[in-house]
Amino acid sequence: MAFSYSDLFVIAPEIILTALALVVIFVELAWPRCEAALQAICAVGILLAGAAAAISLGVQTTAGFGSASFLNGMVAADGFSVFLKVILATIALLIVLISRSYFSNAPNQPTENIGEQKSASLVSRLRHSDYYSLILLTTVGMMVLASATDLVALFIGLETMSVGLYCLAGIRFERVRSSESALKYLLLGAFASAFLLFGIALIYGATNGATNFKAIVDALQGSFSSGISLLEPAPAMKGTPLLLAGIGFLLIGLLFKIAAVPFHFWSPDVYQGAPTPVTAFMSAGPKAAALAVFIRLFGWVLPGLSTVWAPMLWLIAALTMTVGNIIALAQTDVKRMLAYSSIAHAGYLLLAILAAGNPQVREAAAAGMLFYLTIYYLMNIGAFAVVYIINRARENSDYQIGDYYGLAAKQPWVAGVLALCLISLAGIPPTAGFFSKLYVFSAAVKAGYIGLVVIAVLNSVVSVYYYLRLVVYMYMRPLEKPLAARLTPTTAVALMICTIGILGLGLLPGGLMKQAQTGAAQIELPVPTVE
Amino acid sequence: MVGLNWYLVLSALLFCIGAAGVLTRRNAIIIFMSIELMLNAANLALVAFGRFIPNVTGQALVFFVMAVAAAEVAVGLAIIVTIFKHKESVDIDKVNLMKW
Repeated sequence: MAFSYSDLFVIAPEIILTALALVVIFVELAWPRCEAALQAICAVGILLAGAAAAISLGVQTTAGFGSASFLNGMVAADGFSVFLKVILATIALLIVLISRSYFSNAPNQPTENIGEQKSASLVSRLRHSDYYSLILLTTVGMMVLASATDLVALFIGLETMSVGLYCLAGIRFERVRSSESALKYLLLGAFASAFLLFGIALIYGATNGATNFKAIVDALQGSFSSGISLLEPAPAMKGTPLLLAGIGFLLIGLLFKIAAVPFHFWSPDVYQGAPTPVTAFMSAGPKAAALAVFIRLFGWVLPGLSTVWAPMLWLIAALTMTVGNIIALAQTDVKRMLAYSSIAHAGYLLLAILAAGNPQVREAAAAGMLFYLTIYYLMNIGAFAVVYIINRARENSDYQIGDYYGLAAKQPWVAGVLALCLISLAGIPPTAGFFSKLYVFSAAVKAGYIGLVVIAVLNSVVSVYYYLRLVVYMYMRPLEKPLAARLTPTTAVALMICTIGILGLGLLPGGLMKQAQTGAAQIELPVPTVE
Repeated sequence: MVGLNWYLVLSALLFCIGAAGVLTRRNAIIIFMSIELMLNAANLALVAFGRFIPNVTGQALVFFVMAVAAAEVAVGLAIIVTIFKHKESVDIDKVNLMKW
């Protein structure tokens, strides 16, 4: 296999972001206290990476590479992965835009957790560049994960993302909550990674040495056309029980990363304890990346086994939606409420994975998922950004719902953005949240999961209660405590992007959906070029 | 001759010991050790499969896993140290400010 420049084109976004992550560290070393410049460098670099992703797709289609494989079939260069890379770059951009004020002047700020013991040795020594480079490297991990077409790339992308997120969750290490959240995330995340790796090992053995997705497909077709039944052990440990066990372990690892219900216990605690901009990042990026590889794996590699995994996933999807929404009803802490709401949204997104098990509708399902993920990060980052602004203005240790009483009178713009995000999360038209649910649910109906769609719709109705409760408090209750929220210009820009996205795509969803359909129609499994 | 099955049984046993350790022990460092045991169980399975198939991808993947595990340990121990500075303990039952 010759290494060619087209290989570099395919991973250009990752290369740019990795280089940028190193550059920002040196920039801060050379010019300390240049926070605005650092933020600007990151924003420009991320924009470049997003553009590089789009251009690489353009170059391929014009040069007619078609289904050529790059980097020995490790990563896909199809429209689907490019779409996701653009999503992930935008997420990173929004997070960079909202985070500067969180970390500037940190030591002078009254600590978020008043009354918690603070060890003298834990004075904040945070450098902004640490934070930015972690965000960038985590994004690289997510991009690798989203475009992985090989179990090796999947594992490395997932771990790059996870290790970065453990650091990010604990980045305010002088605060006990941040450290606790990092520890919980680390222990449970590493536990799940071990399951995932064991699953990879079993699949590798069961498919006679295949780690590439295409090679796995070929191996599976070989064993199934020769008539080995799912329950009969095949000769020489290449048989299906081993494969099924491997898929089960892999499924556990992936479900953990998207916080589906039996594996969701980490998520509310981690979301609550982590710094709010990091929570916004965690709720948007990893979910998108993990779901991308999930749908590629289960819709394009393992659809032949859907009789085995679909019932299991059906149950998990139903549980995830229901448990997430019901517990969210009882939350009085806004950050925890949004954490449970994001669990419920993972349940809706699992519908797309289920629908992708049916080869006739898998492209519609993948397109619906891409659309959903785009809207989802806009809504979630917008909501968490406002939560962060209010919390900072209140100087509270927690995120109680009482802080939001009468917000609309004092801060009409901020309250308006939060209300829009919440209405969109609830899925009420004309916001984009409505169309994202519509596309995913209609794909699931086409695939024949009518019962599950009914459950999902009922769940959406339940979720309206807790989303709108907050809106009602903001608009109908009198202001209890004075409030002086300040918007930095960059945060305002980020909120504006979210608002325009939610409203614009709610009124004109067609353009994005067309892009998503083109992307989904191009999902490819490149073949390895060397044996 | 030691066949593939022996390695797989050993690997499965190691994995179960690790999982049991994670679920039952309360000391963060011991939990972390148990997770490493699980990762090594997977490594053993990969190497064994790679030797018997025969195919080198499994052994190559093990190198990646080792590197990843080292990164995870570096981050993990740092997090455990900060928890110890806050709590004077690494008992995970004391990590309880947030509850579902």
